[in-house]
Amino acid sequence: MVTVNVLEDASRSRCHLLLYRNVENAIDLRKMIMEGQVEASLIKPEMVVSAFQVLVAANKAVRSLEAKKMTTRSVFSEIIFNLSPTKNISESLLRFGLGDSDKDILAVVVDPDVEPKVEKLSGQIQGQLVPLDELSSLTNVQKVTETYKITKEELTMSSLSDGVISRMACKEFYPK
Amino acid sequence: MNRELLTQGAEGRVFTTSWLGQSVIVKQRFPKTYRHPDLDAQITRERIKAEARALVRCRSFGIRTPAVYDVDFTTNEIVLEEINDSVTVRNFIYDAVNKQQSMNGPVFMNLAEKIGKTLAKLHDNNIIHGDLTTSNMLLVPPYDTSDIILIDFGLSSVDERPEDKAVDLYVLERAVLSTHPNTELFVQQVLSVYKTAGGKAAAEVINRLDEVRMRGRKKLCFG
Repeated sequence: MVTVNVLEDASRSRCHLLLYRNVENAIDLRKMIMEGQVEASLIKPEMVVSAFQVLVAANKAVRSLEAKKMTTRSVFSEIIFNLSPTKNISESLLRFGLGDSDKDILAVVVDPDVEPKVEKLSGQIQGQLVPLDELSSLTNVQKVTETYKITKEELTMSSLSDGVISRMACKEFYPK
Repeated sequence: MNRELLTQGAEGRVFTTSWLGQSVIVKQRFPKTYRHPDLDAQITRERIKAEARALVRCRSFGIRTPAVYDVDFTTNEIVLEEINDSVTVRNFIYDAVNKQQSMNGPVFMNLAEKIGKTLAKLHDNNIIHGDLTTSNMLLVPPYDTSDIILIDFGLSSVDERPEDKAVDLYVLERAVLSTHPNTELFVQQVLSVYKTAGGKAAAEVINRLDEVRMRGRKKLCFG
């Protein structure tokens, strides 16, 4: 249910991915986010191809936090921003972050102290926590391919995940 | 997990390590102390960007390259996908020659054809590799049907003109002929397929190649 990974920052932060479905209170959650009450990144699962994609975004976010060089205001919005292939923050949050009508949420919690954060989040999200394996059935391959501009030639010799992560990693200077 | 050093060149070190649960390659560039530090920082940064860009550009038009997972300008490191069970074309040729396989046989003609097509595509998209050798081309099992995987774009650039493309091919030609015996036909096949696959621009490059050959063993100087 809760997938834990260790990030590559100096404090070896632990990163937890949680998938919620049949969420009923997306609008309230967004209000809570804006009030700073949600200690997690709430992401649209349709834009996620693999857990690794999210870990890469989270890793970059904690490293930016560590270096005091984040682009956005919180590590949670930073994770969402890092997923985006563009440098426009608002666009990133709109495309990848929780929307008012969303029924599925991929939540990312970054903390050495998991349990209380997960408990708090599960108290906030009115939805069902499901196994992370269900993520692949929620991916919108067409939207992802379009958003990240992955060509069909590329998909003949690489996974979509690798193509997506390459764009994320190079967005500061690619295409030009 | 600690990093395991794979190779060390003039530009930097290449490690393999575990990163976010995956096995990856980390390329770390050295600071060049003989340069002014501001200039060094800038040059190194530009080289890293050029390498990462070339890797991603290549995949967009169908040339297989390692995926780029992370670029860090503070540590001058780039994290790349590790291609499992890969063999360099260099070692592939060594192994086959040791097993008495002929360089003029179907295995190598097929390999030459694949290389020719890959390079035609590369240059058609105006990417100059900058260090084309058989050590910078990988194959994965099953080797006879493997795509050519290009690596090490650390000296790459973008140019539509035939000159740098011709030098790219010349470097490969010299590398193959001097590293592996009896490869004249192999090289010829690479260039012939390159010309056919590449169209008019490729024909120009081949013409230019003749001029480059005549200049001798002079290497192009890079900044």
